[in-house]
Amino acid sequence: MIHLSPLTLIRRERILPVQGRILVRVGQKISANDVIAESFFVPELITLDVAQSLKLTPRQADEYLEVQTGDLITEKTIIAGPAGVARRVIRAPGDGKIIQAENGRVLIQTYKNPFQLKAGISGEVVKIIGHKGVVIETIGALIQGMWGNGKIGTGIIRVVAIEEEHELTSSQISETMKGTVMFAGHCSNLSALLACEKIQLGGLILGSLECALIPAIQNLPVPVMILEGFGKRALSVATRELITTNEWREGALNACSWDRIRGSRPELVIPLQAPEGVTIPQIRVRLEKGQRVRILHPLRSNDIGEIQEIGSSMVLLNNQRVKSAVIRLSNGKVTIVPLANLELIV
Amino acid sequence: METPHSIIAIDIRSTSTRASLFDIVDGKYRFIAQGDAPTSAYSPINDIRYGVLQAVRELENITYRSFFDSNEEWIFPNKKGMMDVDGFAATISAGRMFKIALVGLSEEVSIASAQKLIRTIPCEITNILSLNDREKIDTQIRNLLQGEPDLILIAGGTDQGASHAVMKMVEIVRLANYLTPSERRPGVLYAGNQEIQNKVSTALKGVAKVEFLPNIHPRPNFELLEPARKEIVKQWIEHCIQNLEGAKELDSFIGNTLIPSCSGFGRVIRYLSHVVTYEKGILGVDIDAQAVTIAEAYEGELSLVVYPEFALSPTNKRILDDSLLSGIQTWMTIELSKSKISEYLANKCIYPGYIPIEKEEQAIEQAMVQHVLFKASRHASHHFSKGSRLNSRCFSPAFERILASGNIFKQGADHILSGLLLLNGLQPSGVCTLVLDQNQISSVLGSVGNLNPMMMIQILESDAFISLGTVISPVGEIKDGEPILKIKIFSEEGRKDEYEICKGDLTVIPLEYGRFVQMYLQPLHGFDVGMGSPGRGGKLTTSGGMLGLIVDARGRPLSLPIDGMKRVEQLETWRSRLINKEI
Repeated sequence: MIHLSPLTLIRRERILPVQGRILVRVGQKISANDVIAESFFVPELITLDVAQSLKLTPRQADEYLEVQTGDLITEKTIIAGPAGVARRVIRAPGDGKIIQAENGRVLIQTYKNPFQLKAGISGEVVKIIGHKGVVIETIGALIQGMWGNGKIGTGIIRVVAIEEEHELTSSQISETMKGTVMFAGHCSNLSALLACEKIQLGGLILGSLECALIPAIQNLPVPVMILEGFGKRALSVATRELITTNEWREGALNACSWDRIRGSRPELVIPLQAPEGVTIPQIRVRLEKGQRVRILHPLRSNDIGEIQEIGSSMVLLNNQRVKSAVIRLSNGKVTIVPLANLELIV
Repeated sequence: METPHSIIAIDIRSTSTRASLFDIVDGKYRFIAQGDAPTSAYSPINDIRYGVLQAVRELENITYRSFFDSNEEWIFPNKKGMMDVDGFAATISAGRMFKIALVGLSEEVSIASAQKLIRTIPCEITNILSLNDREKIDTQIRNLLQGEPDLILIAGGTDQGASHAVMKMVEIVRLANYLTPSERRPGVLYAGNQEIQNKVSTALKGVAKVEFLPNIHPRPNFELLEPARKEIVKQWIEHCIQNLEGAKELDSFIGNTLIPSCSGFGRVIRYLSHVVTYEKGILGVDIDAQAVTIAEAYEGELSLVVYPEFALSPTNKRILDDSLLSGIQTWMTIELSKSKISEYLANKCIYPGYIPIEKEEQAIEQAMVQHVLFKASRHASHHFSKGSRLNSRCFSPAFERILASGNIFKQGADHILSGLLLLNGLQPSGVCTLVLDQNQISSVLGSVGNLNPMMMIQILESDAFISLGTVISPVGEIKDGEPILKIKIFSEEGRKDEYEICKGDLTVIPLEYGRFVQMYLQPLHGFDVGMGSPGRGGKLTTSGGMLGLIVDARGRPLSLPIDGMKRVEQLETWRSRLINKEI
């Protein structure tokens, strides 16, 4: 199920990987880039080779240790020494805890660089979930994608090239775009991506991407979301309309990777004024007649259509029979598609 | 407990859940029907029971039988509600990948054995930490932590052997676990020097739940994996139960007999090796969106290897892997660039359940099957049982039977295509029979065998499995076009047909499905047909399959033209030689 909605109530649970500190309170208005919680998930570790630094054997060095396992230390605390004629001492490089102090070696866990959980959407905190996370709500347009590079950003939405044949090029990217969330139909050149990084773009939404650029995009600090898939492909009319009608509005791009188990997908949220009665879309678990679906095509542009009938079967080129649905495409044509190749649009 | 005679067996795979019904027909156990539904382990349902329910409901519709009462409040089968069936079995392979970190002394010995051990389940290796690792301790710990393993397997040291070095590695594990928040700490399996179990237990007290296994390398040059395998499977099931909503209830419902799909498949192959073989082993291949399983058994000795890296839905990391793309391109029957192939894989990676419908899509999938079968079977051959390895005189061991399972071979699939995929991918040698599990029931039959062994036996011998035919693959060196094998076929009516096979041929000899004939093979020029030694021939009895009798004299390994156009032509020529020969 993919969300493509001009106006909806959006509720997102943002959870830390392990328990930590919640930095916001219920009722607080937050922006997508705000850090809402933090925890020490993968701690920073530093090894101090005391023996080598003091030019002693490990056993000798242990005699000069001023700390022991479990000690909490602050920056510049003496770890070992003074030793030798020069009365050398070794000091803590920062605040932390001694994890191990033996064999002429001291292992310190520092409390620098905690894992910081960003809000991902702009909205209001409606619930705190213990020490684990928060629930955020907002009303606005919602456009979900297929793939994201794991980064989060915000900015004014700008459209530079809407058709798939309108490729993003570095010449389209100027300093005036700095901080914006830019949309382009397709990207197949690295220089355009590097230009996005250079001007510190707030985010990049692409209809499609040349898959050879996946590694480059994964390392790009700019959040990137792909809407239709890899390889050159056209954007659906519905998505195109939703993006163009929201140009110049502020958007929050959470380009998280798609987690099939949790159900989180990369998405662009555009907060809008809230009329009465906007609700969260109903979760649907099965395909039914009348529903709008995306028809997936790994080697060409996806289609959008409406289910006319479910339960028919289709014979594939290798003679296998699969469960299918009859779909009326947006151009009026009718086709049969395996159920597995349909994605429900809500 | 009474033996059940009517069983519903569920197989929960990554993309689909299948419910199969087995029952008595005319006094024999038979596969009756199968219902399927998308696996519901994922958002927004996040409960495998929904998919199970839908699959069983479809089974009800197909068979016009009622397995549950009509209470609409009912959400999961219970013994009171279930009707018309008296047994329930299940296998599973869906869910988040089980992540394991390996810690050992040397990469060549303890880590190699540990890798072999965990290959029997679908899992991802997050880190390998050994004495060969020269990183600083903080980096080693950070690497362990960043991998976020579900389990750490420690191996190393023979019994009465190394202890200090092992404890050094245990200390790294202790520190890593100490630094991991308690709710995320991985369990530890210790399969090293048994003499220091107490020390290991003391070192890890309070930071890890430790399970002790028999040493997988108790003596130098002696590997003992079998006892530890059961524990690894147990850990995998525990991971599944903890991470998949509904798995605990399903396991409890079937009397805690839930097993991984690959284990069920392995049991069937092991069983077949007991009853079918004549001095040869059995090979099984199961191709899934999430992994390829290669099971080999010889006289009850099973070698089971699971390859998530050869899954038909590759991970993001592999879609640009040039060796994968070149491998797929080798088997493409239409010319397609690597970038187009990688585009398909990248999109398939997002939608692993996608069913290929267009010509190019099917060509990529079929090429991928041949590539992964070749790669996985080549790699797995190093793990094959001693008996099978002794049968390996040339390219690969000669097997009595090759059983293939997977979506691509399921009911209705083109038999010629299935045969070609197996011949090209596995490249068997000697004489063997190709059998298709067209209903994809072999994994669950392994589980059914626990409840009613006779049911498993009779169904394996039934027409639920389809024979493509006997394949004769002579192996040797000579130029194409030279005669390498003479075949005489004696029919029951006393007719004698003679055939001369030349190097490079791919020939189908017409032979009706199920019809038995006597056959005499006489290899020429020292070619080996797996009858004892190169050049040696002999008599054998065989029966026809869906494709008749296949003689694959193309040589081993198959040699394909480097030029793309010529390669495509060659593949098409081979295919055309089998077309219209179907019996």
